[in-house]
Amino acid sequence: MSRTAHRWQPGYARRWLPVVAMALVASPVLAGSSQAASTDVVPGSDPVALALLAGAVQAETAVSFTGVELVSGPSGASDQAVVDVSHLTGHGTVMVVRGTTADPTRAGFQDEDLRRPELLVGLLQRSYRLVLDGTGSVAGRDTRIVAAQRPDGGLAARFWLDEATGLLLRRDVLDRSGRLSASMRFSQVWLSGESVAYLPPLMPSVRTASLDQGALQQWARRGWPCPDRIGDLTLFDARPVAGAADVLHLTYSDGLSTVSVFMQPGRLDVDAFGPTATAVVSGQPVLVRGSRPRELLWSASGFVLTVVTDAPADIVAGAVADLPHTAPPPSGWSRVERGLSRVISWVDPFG
Amino acid sequence: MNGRERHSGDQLAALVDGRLGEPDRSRVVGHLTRCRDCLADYDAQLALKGMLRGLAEPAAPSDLRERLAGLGQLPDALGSAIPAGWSGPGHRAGGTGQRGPGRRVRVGHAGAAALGFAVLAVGGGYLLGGTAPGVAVVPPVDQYVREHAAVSVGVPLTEPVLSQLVRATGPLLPSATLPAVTARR
Repeated sequence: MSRTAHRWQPGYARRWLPVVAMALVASPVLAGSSQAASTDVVPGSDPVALALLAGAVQAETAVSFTGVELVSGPSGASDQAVVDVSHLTGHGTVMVVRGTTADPTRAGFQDEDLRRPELLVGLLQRSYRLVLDGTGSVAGRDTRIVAAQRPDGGLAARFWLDEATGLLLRRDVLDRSGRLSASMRFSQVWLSGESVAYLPPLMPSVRTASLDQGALQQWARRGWPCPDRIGDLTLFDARPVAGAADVLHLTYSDGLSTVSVFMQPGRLDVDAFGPTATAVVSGQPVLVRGSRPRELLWSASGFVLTVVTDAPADIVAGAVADLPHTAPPPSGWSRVERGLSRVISWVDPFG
Repeated sequence: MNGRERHSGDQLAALVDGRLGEPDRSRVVGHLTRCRDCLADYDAQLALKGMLRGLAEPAAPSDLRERLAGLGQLPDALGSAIPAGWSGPGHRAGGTGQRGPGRRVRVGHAGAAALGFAVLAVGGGYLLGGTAPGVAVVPPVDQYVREHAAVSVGVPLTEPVLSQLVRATGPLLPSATLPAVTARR
């Protein structure tokens, strides 16, 4: 394929800067939130780096391509998935996870409209400083590298962006200790989209609409905890869960990882889960299920919280730290008071 | 009221329990309209009974409440119908009498009842207050994972939740056999 068609040009940044500016105010929840203020971004980002990322977001849907992706988590090659990807502009992306002796081949079709291109740069800027980090090569193609730095200067992620098309060819996410926590890279890529004979089922989609800031505040007034930020993550989506009138789904991201928080009134029925791993995260005892994504469950402040995430452990810990925690076991007298309050509520016809 | 009356004593408990028949019932009710001490005992016993049953404070017989509401407006005939012997030593009809042994017995009973109530309240409260409030909930975690996958895919340049891909059931043709589509940029 040609590697000269979309080489980096001086006008590239100018073309994407308006897109970057729009990204800061485009999301319904972000726009009304205090986090939407431009003063909340980490200062010092390179405008060229921002423009490169905005271009990569655009290229993700505007360029048809086929390739082989290697996707891994914190365990590296031992839990690596090999994914055949074929994106056809205007339609969507077919993904096929190659089977192993233990797992069958799995496939899914991701509709192109599911992406929200306005989100990425805005989310990244609220948590990281985005700078140029040299050049490299991925799958035999020249790339420019953009680094995401934490406010303290630590490296959080690197993006390898195809010089010719802007496509993201590799992305590494690192935890605070500098260890690789997630990685995606193309081992092969062709600039062609291929129609497939077998169209796999659609990936999951949501059936409820996002809440705007006013609607979210109504939930907050009714007692639902709705923080704008948890740890290093910014709230970018809020919606009720389909079929459950009293379950609120809040989704947070830093542009690298995503954390979903589901909140519903009540207390967690721990016994219903049978033997389940437990852990203490940021001082909060939780039930732990799954691995990718991981699910954490606990009760606090009259709500059951379920966290679903693919984020590194340190990001999850920071998020949990800012969510409601279970009150410590009651002292003897406070326990008596709570019991009497219950009795009074039982006999009070107006309670 | 006029004259000295005896306190209602055991008849008060019978009234609380609904076991007091006429004409004693009318006499005790009439006494309660004039004797603050007995009225206080009556209210305390009602409250204790209601608490021990775990029920709301039982409503007093409606006619009794009506008559108590008309405190001070009852005809003297009702009060004068109470035999003189009702008023024992130290009786303080209208709250002005002297204290005596009968009073001490009642205070003792009230103290014992209060102590019992306190033990029940503290013990019961401790037992009842041991669990967090709220209805036990089993979150549909698998549904939540699907919702998470559906929303998180909105963030560009991130990987989809691969666990949400389903088992492939159709033929996946080799790339070389598929028609290529030229990149549009």
